[in-house]
Amino acid sequence: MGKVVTHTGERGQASAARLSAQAGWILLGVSVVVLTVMAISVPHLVGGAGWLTGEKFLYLALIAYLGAAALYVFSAALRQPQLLAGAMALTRGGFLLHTMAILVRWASSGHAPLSNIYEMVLVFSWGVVALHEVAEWKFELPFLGAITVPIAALALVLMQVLPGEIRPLVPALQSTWLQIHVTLAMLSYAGLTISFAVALLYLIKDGATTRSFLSWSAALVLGVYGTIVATSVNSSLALTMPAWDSTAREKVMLAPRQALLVPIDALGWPFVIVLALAAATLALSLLGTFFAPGQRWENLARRTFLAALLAQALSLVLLMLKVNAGPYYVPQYGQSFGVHLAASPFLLAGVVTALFASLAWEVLRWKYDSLVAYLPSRDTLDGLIYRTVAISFPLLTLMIIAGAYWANRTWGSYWSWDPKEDWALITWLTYAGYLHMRLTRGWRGRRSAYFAIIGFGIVMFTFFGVTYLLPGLHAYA
Amino acid sequence: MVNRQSSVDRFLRFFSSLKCGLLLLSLVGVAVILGTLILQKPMAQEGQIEQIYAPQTLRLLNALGLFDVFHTRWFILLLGLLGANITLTSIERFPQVWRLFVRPHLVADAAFIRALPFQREIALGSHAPQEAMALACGKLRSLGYAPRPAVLRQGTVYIEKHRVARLAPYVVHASLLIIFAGAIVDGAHGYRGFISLRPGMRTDTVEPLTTPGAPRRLGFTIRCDAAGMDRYPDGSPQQYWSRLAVEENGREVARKQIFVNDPLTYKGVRFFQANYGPTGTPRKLVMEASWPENGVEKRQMLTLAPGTPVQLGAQGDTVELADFIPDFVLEGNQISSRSDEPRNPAIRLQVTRPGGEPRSAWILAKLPETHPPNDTGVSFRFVNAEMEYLTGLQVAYQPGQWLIWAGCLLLTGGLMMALYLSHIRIWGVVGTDRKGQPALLLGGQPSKYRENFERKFHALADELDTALKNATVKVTEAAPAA
Repeated sequence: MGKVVTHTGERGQASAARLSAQAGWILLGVSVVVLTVMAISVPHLVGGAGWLTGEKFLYLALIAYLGAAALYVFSAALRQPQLLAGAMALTRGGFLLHTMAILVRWASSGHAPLSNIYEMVLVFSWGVVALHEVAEWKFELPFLGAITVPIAALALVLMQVLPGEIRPLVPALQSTWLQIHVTLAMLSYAGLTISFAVALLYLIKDGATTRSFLSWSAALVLGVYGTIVATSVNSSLALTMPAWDSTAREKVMLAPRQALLVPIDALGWPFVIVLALAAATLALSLLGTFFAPGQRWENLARRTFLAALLAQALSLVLLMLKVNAGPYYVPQYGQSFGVHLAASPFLLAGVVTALFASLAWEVLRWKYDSLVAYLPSRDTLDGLIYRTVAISFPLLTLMIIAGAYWANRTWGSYWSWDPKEDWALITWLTYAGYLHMRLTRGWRGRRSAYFAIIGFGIVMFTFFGVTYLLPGLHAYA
Repeated sequence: MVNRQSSVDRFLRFFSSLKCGLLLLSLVGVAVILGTLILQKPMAQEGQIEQIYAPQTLRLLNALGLFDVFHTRWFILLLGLLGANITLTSIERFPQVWRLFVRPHLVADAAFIRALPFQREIALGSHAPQEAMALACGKLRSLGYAPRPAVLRQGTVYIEKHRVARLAPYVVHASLLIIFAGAIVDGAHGYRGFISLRPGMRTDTVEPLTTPGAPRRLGFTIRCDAAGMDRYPDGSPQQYWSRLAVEENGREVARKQIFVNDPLTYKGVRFFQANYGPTGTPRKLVMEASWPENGVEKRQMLTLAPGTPVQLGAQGDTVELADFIPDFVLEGNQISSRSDEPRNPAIRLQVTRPGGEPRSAWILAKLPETHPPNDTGVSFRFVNAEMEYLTGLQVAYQPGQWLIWAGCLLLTGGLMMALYLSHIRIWGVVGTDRKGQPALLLGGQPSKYRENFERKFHALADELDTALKNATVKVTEAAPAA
């Protein structure tokens, strides 16, 4: 299905290729270790997940996706077309398991799994993989999976810590319009995710330099770990996490919005080290770009970033191990409390995103040219960004209309200016602006790609940010 | 004077431009973002805003109307400007597009075709021009593209698809204006309110939802016959319902059992099940009283309701329900209720002897062994309480909502047309190719999706080419005379 370019290169390139292949195998090793640790820890975390709630299927799907994501990335790095075929097969296998998880949950709960954030992420990630399959098949985009499958895997990792119990539907949610509304929302979000992935491919094809990629990846890691260190690492370098009540399956609260925090000694160290390495990478890379152009600083920046990547993998592994090793003693209360990653979904999501971004950069760095050769032409990619938006925008519009119609049948008001509605409107205005620029001003190329990336950020904020940061009427999601 | 004219002109030109529209679009976006980041009055609890913001910030934000962005004049003005911009932009461009729509350019010549973005020259080979045209037309017809007969008579093969796509942007913009119009109608003539009813009660007034606002007469009476709640086996609420009836001039004219998601509609006014719960007061309270009389223990069952004293014994004593605390809790020495559910009722009864002062007795229904204060000389035992329930109805009158739904339908259709349909046109005339040989000159133009069109255009040209090459059979059907 995918067109895979195999190089038979000249002798000079061959040794370089061997070198990069070795580096690729090292990275493959790192990711296998990370995946194994996650695979071992996650079921332990979930504990008691059953076949009947679909969680076991979902867990198997997650493993398939993680494997597929790694294979997608490394098939390019190692110039191994067999790996690509394996990645596609694993994705499809994961997709089947994912579908099973949805169907089983649907059957055992008696209603479509569209009623809370857990179920929405379940359907959203399914939509991403489904549309990925369509795009791969229709547009021959062999490398698309390297971006979409990690996003789906990340969503599934996040789900492991979201409250996933099957609850009966509250009266307001017993409506067909709600199901239409949520289905449309998830489909349009998934479609815009594909446009984001294609936009990233466009930027790669368009020759955004590896150096600027390095700066962006380092800045992302810096942002994620900076936030973690600023909010969760205390002065004695212990990582503080909310205490977890394992019987009630929720955080132990001292007061509304104030959780009891448990310090885990010495776990702050790896996070501070990653922060320092990412900061050093960014500084060196900027130095190399603006002040002292030359290979030297850049090489140094690459080495520090590789160290940062290894430190990130170490942090994640330590985090998983330490979280499972609880409970921990809290001196102020003279009592021990357990911790759980479910209490800090953003911590987990941030750490995993940063790790994926770093791995992706390392792969890019070694195999930039062959990646570029893999991809369809710039015009094709540019057209695809537009087409994915053009498909998702009417879905987004219908989603807002169905939501308004449902609210009108439930509360007698089709628009209440609640934060989720407002952000759906902002998303709509953003893409409406994009379509005007594209259709009447002929916006193309990089500007169009940047727009798709920014738009995706807004979509994700509407999806998750509003739910956790700006609560309102949409209390159930 | 001339100068002013031109500056007005320039302003109008800017105001009706796409640039201005996008500017207004982003301003609306920024206002909406502010409205979600700053706590809004309709969403805030009392005193919450004052608690969060410092006094100076509070004054500034209040002066800018940022505590109620979506109802301030400037936000409504912004939406109005956006509506005006959409209208003007459309009006300015519409005549041109309409002309193209009703009177498209049909008849072509070689020069016209050579100016089109996509062209092909198809050699006629051994065919005469008339014969070639007939062959080409037959082939096109079999491919689903019917050339226009009237144009064909003038020597041009003209085919087109999806001409309606030209109008799509105007459909989209018109639908947005219709939605705006619906919102304006609702803002001016609609209202929202609230009714609380106990089963058996009726009312003809609606309480306002927001604090400033007067109660409103419905013009008819709404009566609640029953209300209730169904639970799942685990105890969580499954459905709330009320049996409602509408009365006009004392006569029942409508009746419906409403549920959440399924309102009663009468004369455009809709009644929604909003909430349901105990009022915290009992409708019927059953107590057992016992007291010593002449050395004999006397017992009596009492059925009490708020506000109605009941006879106790034969001496003319009366008992009255003075206080009912449904979910009793002692905070310090303050008595309060945790909820309106009768989870832990505390009851105060007053016993009045003829000519005497009222005396009080406290009864803790769930904790009789605590012996709360009682100076009445009568002991009371709690038997059961039937709570009074209240159903809460949201009332909405939105005469503009049908405009809104019509606008939404049109918007969806318009968007599909605008995004998925491309107006494609292909002209063909017989002329000479670059080598001077007779050829069918084919030219085409899409309104969008050039790559797709290019593929389709060349595939079509290839089909025609093969059709002309392979047609050895004499064509009997003559082409219409030029």
